[in-house]
Amino acid sequence: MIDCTQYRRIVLADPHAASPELAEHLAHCGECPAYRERLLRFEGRITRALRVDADVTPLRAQVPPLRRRRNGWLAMAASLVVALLVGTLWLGAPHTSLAADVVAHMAGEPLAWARTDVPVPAADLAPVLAEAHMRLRPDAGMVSYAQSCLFRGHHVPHLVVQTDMGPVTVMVLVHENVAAARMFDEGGYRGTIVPLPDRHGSIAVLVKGDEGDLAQVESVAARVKAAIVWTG
Amino acid sequence: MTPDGIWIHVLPRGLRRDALLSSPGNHEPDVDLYMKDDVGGNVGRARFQALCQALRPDLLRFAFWLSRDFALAEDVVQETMLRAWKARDSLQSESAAKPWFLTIIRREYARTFERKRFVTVDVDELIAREEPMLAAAHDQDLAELRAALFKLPEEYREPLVLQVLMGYSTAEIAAELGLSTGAVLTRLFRARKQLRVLCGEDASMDPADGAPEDAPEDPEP
Repeated sequence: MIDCTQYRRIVLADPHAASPELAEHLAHCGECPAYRERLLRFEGRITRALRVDADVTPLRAQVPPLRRRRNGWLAMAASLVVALLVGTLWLGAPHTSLAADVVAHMAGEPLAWARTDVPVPAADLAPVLAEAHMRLRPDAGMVSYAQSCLFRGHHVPHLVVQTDMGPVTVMVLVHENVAAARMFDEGGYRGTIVPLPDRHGSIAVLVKGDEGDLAQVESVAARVKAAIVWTG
Repeated sequence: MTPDGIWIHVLPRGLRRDALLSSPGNHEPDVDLYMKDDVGGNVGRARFQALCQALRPDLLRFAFWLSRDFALAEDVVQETMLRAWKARDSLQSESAAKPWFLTIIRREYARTFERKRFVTVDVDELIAREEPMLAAAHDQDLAELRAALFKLPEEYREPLVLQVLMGYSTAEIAAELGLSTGAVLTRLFRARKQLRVLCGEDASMDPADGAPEDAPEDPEP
């Protein structure tokens, strides 16, 4: 059996490392479980720190000297065009942070990703959907997981639809209106955020990076979107 | 025009931001990096743009942590997308796109580094310059950790970013960086150990510096 030093060396290199030797040590050691817990908390902080907001553009105001020296009127005209273009895109696209928040939410519910052929009982699914004033027609697919989750201050349905290629997560973000569909690939998840008609918000549909492709995501998004029936 | 009939109008580096970020319908000729094929646009181009749009946040983050300079990261990502577009035939599938882009980013960053012949920079100066980015979350704890990440040697920072942010396995990091898995584990071990000290974490229970089990020793950078 490995000792504490060996255990800690391994988990410092990879806090999520898993092996029978590590599990055995953890089960019998009096100190390493607490050590690992602290390490995982620190790992969470590292993850948050690395996820700088890629849409933040503070340096646009600090144009490097090389760029500032460019011909005045040309630079101003170009800046105006770029600003208009960026502004249009900013208004026309959901903020990346919405995708990032969805991805961050996934980390809290790893059990939702299980492959299964057992559907959530209708009696359990209905109240989750009812909170968002909706129901789903059966052609949405087999829902294997349904939870009402707190997301950005609102309770929203967090569903998992099983497909031939594996589980696909769907979050119905009734409070998040977006202007256009946008794909994302962040933090090991790939997906899309699709607007729902009549300003009913949007749905985020995503898969784990190694368990599906964007075509599959788009297909599920279209199916679920078409299967939503608003009840209020 | 490229040999395969693609028009690429390129504006100066600093004006090319978000060139591939917009949906195809949002482009104006000669306003931004604009790609037009001889038949007036096709699915492949739109798909490529969508792919770039989806990957851009993580690519930008990776380039930022590589360079510790957001403006440079933006330029590197733009150059990367341009090179990727030109070499798009070598992309086998969308699922392989991210590692493919990351490899191009690393090469492009290395080229930039060679071209600019950077002199040694003061880390505190870098931190001060990137302060708006580091403190964007208005969270002191986060800002301190980001500053600590800035202080990590590149040899430790890069594998850490690949592991934590990009979800790479040890073997994938080793392949990307051209190292043995043992050397990667050593660097990851040292990265976290240094970070914990820099952030004032209780490191009294951390093992002494050394390679993780089964890992050949990697010399200090």
